[in-house]
Amino acid sequence: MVRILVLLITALISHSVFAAGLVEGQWNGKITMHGKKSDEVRFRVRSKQNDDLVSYKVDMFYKERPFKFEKLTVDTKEMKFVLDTGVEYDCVLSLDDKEKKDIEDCKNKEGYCGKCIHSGDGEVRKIIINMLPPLEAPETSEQDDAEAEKIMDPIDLSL
Amino acid sequence: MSENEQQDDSNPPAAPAAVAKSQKDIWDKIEILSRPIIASLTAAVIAIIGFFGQNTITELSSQEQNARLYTELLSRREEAESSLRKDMFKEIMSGFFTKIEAKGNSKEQILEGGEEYKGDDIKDNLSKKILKLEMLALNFGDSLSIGPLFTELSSDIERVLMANRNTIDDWKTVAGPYQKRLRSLAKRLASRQLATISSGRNSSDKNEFKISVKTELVEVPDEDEDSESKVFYWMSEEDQNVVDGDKLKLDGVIRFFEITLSNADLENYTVSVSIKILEIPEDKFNKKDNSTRGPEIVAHEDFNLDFFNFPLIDNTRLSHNHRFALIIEEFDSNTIELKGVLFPGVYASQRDKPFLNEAIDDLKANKDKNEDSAKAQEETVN
Repeated sequence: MVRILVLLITALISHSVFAAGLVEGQWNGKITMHGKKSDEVRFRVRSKQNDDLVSYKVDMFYKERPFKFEKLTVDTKEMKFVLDTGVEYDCVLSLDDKEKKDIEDCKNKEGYCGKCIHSGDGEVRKIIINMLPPLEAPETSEQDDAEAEKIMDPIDLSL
Repeated sequence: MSENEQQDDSNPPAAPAAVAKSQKDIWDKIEILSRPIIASLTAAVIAIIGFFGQNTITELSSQEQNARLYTELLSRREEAESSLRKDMFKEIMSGFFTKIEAKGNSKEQILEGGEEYKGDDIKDNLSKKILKLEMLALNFGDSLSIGPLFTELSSDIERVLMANRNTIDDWKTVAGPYQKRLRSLAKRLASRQLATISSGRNSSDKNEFKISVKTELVEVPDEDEDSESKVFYWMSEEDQNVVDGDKLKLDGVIRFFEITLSNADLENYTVSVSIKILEIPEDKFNKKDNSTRGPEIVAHEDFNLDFFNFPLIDNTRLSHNHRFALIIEEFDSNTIELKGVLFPGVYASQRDKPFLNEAIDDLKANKDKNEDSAKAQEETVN
């Protein structure tokens, strides 16, 4: 009985870890800046395994400029971070449809969606972000290595 | 009889005179007729010669006049253009160094006395500054070291927008398109200069190479990352067959390159470069030297490469009055593409004059070349 319980718990934990994971690679999506129309945006997601912990790094590329997701935490249903666009925003993006339903611009949106809020100086500013995972399957490490090797090879020796 | 005889005697002398008279008349007539004809022919010939002579003289003088006029026009146009370029340069440069200032950029002023200044003023000013730089770059980019102006304007954009963050919402997102415009202009100028170099290139001499690397492999390492793991090393192939061949050289000089890339900064679009240029010694190349000496390092440089490095201006001076330039072709979150170009010093900018020893070497080389070709011609004739 105890063994079954341990197995179940292990399975649950591994499932939640998988669910909490962000797929590495290039994500696409939309951003709606405060008082502006929505715009295309690109994200680069990288992960690093430290012992049992996986840490993520997300960079958003908006108008050809990188914006780092600072103080990023990712769990099963949502990710939280600080976004500095010249104004610091506290952001919460969610995978959960119930959470997304509460935000008008996130209804029926796939992937992570949520808002960033800045409430300093008596003015509340809001940004909506929608992050969509890469369409293709994530590259395996072997594929990655092969591609890196291909790129690292001198392309043309012309001198 | 005697009378008859007398008559007979008197008659015969009259007949030849009449014949002579009648013959003279024809010649006389001819003479009389030919005189005016000859006179008119002479007059006509003189008139024709005069006419054509005059025409030729007029034509020659008109040609000469045209040539003089053309030269004068050209020199005047050159003068006018120089003067225009001088005025334009003065005007743009003076405008370029004016400060971008808001009429009242402090938050207090805006709260107290209404909006004296709007963020749009700053944006307009920035646009105008970029336009001025565009004018400078496109008109003087080949002869002026314009990179520092790009760098200055790029940091100006950040500084000014940040200083006015109270009125410019999310200033970092506003800076992006301005920086992109600057980079596009720089790319345009660099590719124009590359085209100039390529147009005068001897097609048999390959003198450029490309390097492509994944950005994340050379990106600025995070605090928890090992800085040495984020270095990319590239070297051109040192193949003896290539050395013996005649492909990878410029004016008979063979060179190799070792390039190290690191600290790629996506925010400023810069990458640290360390470059070593190796050259096959001339004696070895000419096969006078049978020693096993390999290529020798002739230049070693460390620098930060960005879009504002232009091949005609920002290059490394090498022997034989050659230049080597490395430029960024593409730089984004996925890949960095660099292009290395080797080219003769004649294509370098006007401010980049050859050293005296290089000029003398050039003269000697030209003299030797002329002598060789003369000898070859003589041999062909014999």
